[in-house]
Amino acid sequence: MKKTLLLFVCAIFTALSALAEQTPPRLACESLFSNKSIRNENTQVVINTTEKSYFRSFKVDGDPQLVKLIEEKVSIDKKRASETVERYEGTDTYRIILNIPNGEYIINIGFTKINDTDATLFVEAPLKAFE
Amino acid sequence: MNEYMTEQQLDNLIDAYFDCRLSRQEEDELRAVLTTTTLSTSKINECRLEMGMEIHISTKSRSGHITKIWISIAASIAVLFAIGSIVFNYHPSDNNLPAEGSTIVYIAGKKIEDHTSAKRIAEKSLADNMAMMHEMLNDIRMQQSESKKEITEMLISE
Repeated sequence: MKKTLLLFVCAIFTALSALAEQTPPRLACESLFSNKSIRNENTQVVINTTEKSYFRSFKVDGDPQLVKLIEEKVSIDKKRASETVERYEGTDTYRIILNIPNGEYIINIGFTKINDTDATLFVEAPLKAFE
Repeated sequence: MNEYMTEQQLDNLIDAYFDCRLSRQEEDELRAVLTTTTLSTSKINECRLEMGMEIHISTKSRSGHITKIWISIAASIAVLFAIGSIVFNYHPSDNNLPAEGSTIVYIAGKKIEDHTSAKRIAEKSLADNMAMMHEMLNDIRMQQSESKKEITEMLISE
């Protein structure tokens, strides 16, 4: 009986400590950089990781479906943002910056929709925010 | 006679039962006390057994067994939950996290094999995007500050 109770208490502590640990943010936008099927003649993908920083960018020229897909991913991540800055320029251009907290770090996501067919997206943060 | 009697009182009553000095009614009352009392001595248990209350005793022991089973089940669930949490949070190979210090660039679906060119493109992209972000944030903050200033001036002039 005592052994069972001890096992129970240990298991609860292990589970709680595992939950409290910082977890990777699993951003919706991240899938755009690893999805090979959306890399085509209209895209430019940059994946840059240094010892301290994490940077990804995705540029689309002349692909309305991809622009829509990026918008969908950004709107999912927007729900997790602690701070959002949006700006409309002229009739077509729309910019949004998201600050998404993960543990003690902030992940920056920037999306610029130039028009219905052209857009850019970037994700930037300290590397530790993604570990 | 009630269920809150002391151990001594109960012992005396049990002695009287074994000496056949209790009436039928007193026996029934003793039975009721033995059913509800939390006291447990060898004499009390012997009396319970004698009065055909084995079922009561065995039920108690069974309930302890059931409790043990439930705690075992809860412990097993907790262990599974702990293992699940660890497995869920463990990501040995994340596609988005290539080796530290790596730069990968795809233009028009083709990978830029020249590392220097790839690095230059990545650095330019980073610089452009950071500049855009900081310009936008500074612009917004400046506008906010100006708006606050205007509001304050309006309030003061009123």
